[in-house]
Amino acid sequence: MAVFTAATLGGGMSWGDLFEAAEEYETTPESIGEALRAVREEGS
Amino acid sequence: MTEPSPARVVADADVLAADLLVGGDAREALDHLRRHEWTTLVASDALLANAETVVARLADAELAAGWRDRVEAWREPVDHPDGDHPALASAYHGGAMHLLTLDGDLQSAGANAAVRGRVETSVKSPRAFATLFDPESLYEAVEGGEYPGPDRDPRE
Repeated sequence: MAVFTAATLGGGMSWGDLFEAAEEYETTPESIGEALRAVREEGS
Repeated sequence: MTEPSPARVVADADVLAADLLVGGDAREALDHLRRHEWTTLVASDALLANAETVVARLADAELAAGWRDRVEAWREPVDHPDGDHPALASAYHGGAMHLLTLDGDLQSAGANAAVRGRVETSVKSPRAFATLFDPESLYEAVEGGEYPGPDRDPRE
């Protein structure tokens, strides 16, 4: 994750900061779907 | 309930998480909204909480918290009863005429018809929304006048 982001200066992260930080994670739509189903089943 | 508008959009938690973690169609779809201040992303706290939890599980809690702060500054909040499907209820109570989801069951013709019987909302994939989004005609319909072009940096 980037160190000197707007968040570290108290201004909150921009979308550009967030997308850059997210690049280190290899995530697929399928894994997101599975995770969301689990979250909603746990909450119901 | 808010008056329905084609410029009001709900993205289910899977699309919100995919926008951040995957990019592709989800980001292309939401970039249309980020570029145009006269559009509205509608989302309940429950919907954002679902997406934040997914991001925390698949990435990390710090990124999830940063995402939550940013999306809360962007979305228009809407309340709905506990236990309702967060995306459908956000669309229903928030007057959103588009609901974007990666869930094939929600996108199915039967579900779409059932939803439209209760909610003036079209359920579609991010790819379909990104492809069909026509800012010129939408601006004319909801704001009136000639489309002035994008008015916001989608990476701010």
